[in-house]
Amino acid sequence: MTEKNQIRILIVEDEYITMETLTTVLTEMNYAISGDAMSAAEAIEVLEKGETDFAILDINIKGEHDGIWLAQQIKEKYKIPFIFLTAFGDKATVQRAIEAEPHGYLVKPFNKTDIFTAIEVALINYAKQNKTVSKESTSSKKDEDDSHLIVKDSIFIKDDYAYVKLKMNEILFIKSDKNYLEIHLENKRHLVRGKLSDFFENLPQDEFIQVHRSYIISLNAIDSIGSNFVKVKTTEIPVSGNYKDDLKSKLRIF
Amino acid sequence: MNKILLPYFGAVLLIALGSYCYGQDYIHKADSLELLINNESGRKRIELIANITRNTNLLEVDHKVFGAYIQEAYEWEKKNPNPKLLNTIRLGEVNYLIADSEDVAAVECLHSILNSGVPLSSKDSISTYSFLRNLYSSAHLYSEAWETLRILDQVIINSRSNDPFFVDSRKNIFNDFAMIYLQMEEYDKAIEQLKKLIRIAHQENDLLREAGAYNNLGITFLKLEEPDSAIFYFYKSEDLWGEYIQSLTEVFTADEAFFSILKGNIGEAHNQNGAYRKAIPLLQEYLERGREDNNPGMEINALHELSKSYVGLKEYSKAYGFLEEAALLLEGNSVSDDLIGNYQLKVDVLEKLGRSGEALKLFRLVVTYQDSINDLENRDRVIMLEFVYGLDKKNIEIGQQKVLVAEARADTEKEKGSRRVLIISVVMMSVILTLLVLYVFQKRKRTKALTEKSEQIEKQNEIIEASLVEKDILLKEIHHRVKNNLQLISGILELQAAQFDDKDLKAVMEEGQSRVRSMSLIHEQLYQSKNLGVIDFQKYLEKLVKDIVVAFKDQHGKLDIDINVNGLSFDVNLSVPLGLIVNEMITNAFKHGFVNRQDGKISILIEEIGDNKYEMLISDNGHGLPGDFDPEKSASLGLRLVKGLSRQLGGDYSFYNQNGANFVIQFKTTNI
Repeated sequence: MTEKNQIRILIVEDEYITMETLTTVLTEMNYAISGDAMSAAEAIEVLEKGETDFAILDINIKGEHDGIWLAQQIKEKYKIPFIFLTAFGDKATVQRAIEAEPHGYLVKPFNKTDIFTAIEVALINYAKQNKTVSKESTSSKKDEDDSHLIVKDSIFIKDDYAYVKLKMNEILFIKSDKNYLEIHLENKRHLVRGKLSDFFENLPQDEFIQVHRSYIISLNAIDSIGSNFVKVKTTEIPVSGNYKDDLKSKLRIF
Repeated sequence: MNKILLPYFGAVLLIALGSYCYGQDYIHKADSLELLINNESGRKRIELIANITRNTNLLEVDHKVFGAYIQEAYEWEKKNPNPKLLNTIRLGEVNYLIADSEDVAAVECLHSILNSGVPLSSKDSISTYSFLRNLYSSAHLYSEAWETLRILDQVIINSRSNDPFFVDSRKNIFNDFAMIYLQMEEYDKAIEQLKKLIRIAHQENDLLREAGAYNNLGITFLKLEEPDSAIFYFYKSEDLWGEYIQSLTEVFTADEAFFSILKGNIGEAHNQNGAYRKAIPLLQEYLERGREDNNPGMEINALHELSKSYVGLKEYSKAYGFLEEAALLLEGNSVSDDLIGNYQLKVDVLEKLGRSGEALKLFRLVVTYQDSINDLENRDRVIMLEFVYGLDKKNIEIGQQKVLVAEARADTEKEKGSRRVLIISVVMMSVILTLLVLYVFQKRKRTKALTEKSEQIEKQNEIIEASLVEKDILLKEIHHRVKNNLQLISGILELQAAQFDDKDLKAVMEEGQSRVRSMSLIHEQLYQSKNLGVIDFQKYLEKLVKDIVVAFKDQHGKLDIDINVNGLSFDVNLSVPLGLIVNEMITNAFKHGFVNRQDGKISILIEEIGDNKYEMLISDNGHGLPGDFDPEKSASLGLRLVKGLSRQLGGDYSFYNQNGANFVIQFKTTNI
């Protein structure tokens, strides 16, 4: 069963045993499998359902299209991070693969650590790539570790040794505590490294608002508004003077 | 410039070497050949006619005699159709046509052999391509000649026979290459080939070829205008030819004639050197031989060369006399290189004699003829190319008509020529001279580019061939290593299993081992087989099943296993998963199908059921599947593997009980 915050991975691989191995390893790591495809056509079917967060693509698959074609489709349409998986490290294949701009590369044979690392690197690459595309001008130099892994409407954070994803709309508020950020969900709290201002940049601006030096809240999560605080569920969050006007204008409560 | 316009003197040597090209099995004289033929009748007679006409150097005998015989052979074959014999007769006709200077018809005939669809013996194809090669190169179709020679080379190399014909052909190839290089004016390369031939002929004590090659080497140096070297080689050839003649049991005039040919060649070299007095007696002897043998080509060559000697000695009227004599021999023939050469020489002599008016007139003629002969040659070339590229006959006939028109034009020009005004001639002369210079220049450039290209291709082919062999060896090596490594893994599993007493654990290890084994067998079969691409599946399954039987031998005594794959072979991509499936199924049958039974039967059947679609039926006469059998819910890795691998093969699997368990797996071969 797919838990809510599991990252759902599509495996495209036409060799059954490799596919089965990947499935086993990924499941053990607490990832969910959104689908296993042996051809590009099957893969597209899975992708069309929109329940895939990440894709592992074998380059050499039988059928009309190969993994590189699939990568182009993902880049154009589905916009999720993906990595290539291949047994051939030859120059021509690598060259073609590079042109498809994968977020990572996994070479057969692989072990658990390889898979784990490849996924992590891919997520970081993906986040960076999206940031530079959308906010090139505003992003100043940052500590590498502080890049936040935001994929579409979710943020990926490390939970034990695998990543989990938090849907943006599940976030109630974020609290900054020194170098860490507490991300508060309905009944869970995640701790990630980073600065509030960087994190804020990655959030949809019409859904979140900073109300304090140390707090960002989801506009949808506000239950009540006091004179110098807002209440999200049971938590009272302070609103400081310089952010008050902004909040009011956003909530149209002038 | 003279060089280009002069008749191709090297022809002398082509005859000399050509004679052995087609075998020495038959005696040279026409009458003795006729005698041979007339001693036979029926099929034997026709075969003899075909063989004699194709094998004999018809240039040395009165070839016209054989026209009727060839006709007779054709008619006989019409009544007694025999496509193989027909091709041999055609080869005879080709030889006849070449002797008759009907090059275009000869090429057509050769193409009808190639297009006959009848497989040619190595001997016949060597003859066919040799003829074609000669014809192409004398038509200056160098790239076609090259291509043909390359095919010839392949045919000869591939025929590993020790038959003297093939042994000789292998050596002749060097001479063939040299002759093409010579024509293309690539002298260095011609020399290289000839030296190779000399080395080999010397090792094999093949005096005939060694002498021939030295003569050709001399001619190459004549072309290079290095007469001293040329003379050196001609004498070497003469010595060797002497030894050769002594080794013969019976000497024919044609063999003796070669001495005279050498004398003629040496004479030409002396002329080049300015040693005219030395040249004259040699050329006289050469001329005599030509007269005796009734060989006008030889006579003309000799007369022309003699006239050069006398021009050198400033005895112009004597020189002119020789040219007139040659002109008499040329009379009645159509425009030829020889005729043009004759006029060319006359122009020089007339000028020296102070008869400038006549000289200019003749020069005008030379130019006209040169044009028309170029036209004729071009037509011939076009027609030949049409054969090469298989255009229809109509085009060819039109082409031949054009030749007639061109010839007719040349004749009328001849009459008009004398009436032309001097000034026009002078203007024309300069224009034509420029054109000629350009032509020579262009031709050299073109031939050079051609040789370079051909050499490149040749080199590349060699590299490719070598790398293909290497590829095969490496692939075998790799399959061998893969097999070894897989066996190693299997061995490790065995050792690991031995560490435990737990029966279940041991069983798991054994299963792993047998799965690895099923793959290692594939690689074993691959490096043992000739074809590195495919697996003979019958063989493979037999081995695979034998291993499983051995593994279960303690539990089941007599289990018959019947395998029939209908002779199918599959590639590695398909064989590995299919082998694993069979491995799982048979293991399952052994484990569950025959519990508490000693005997039973298992059969594996693979059939093609459609385009690239196959069906495999694995059935046993055991207990059958349990009623609640559901592979979807089965935790067994074996069944999961079967299911997943079937999917990988683009197929499906199903099962039913009927006298035991039956599994049907359908799969496809995909073209990736």
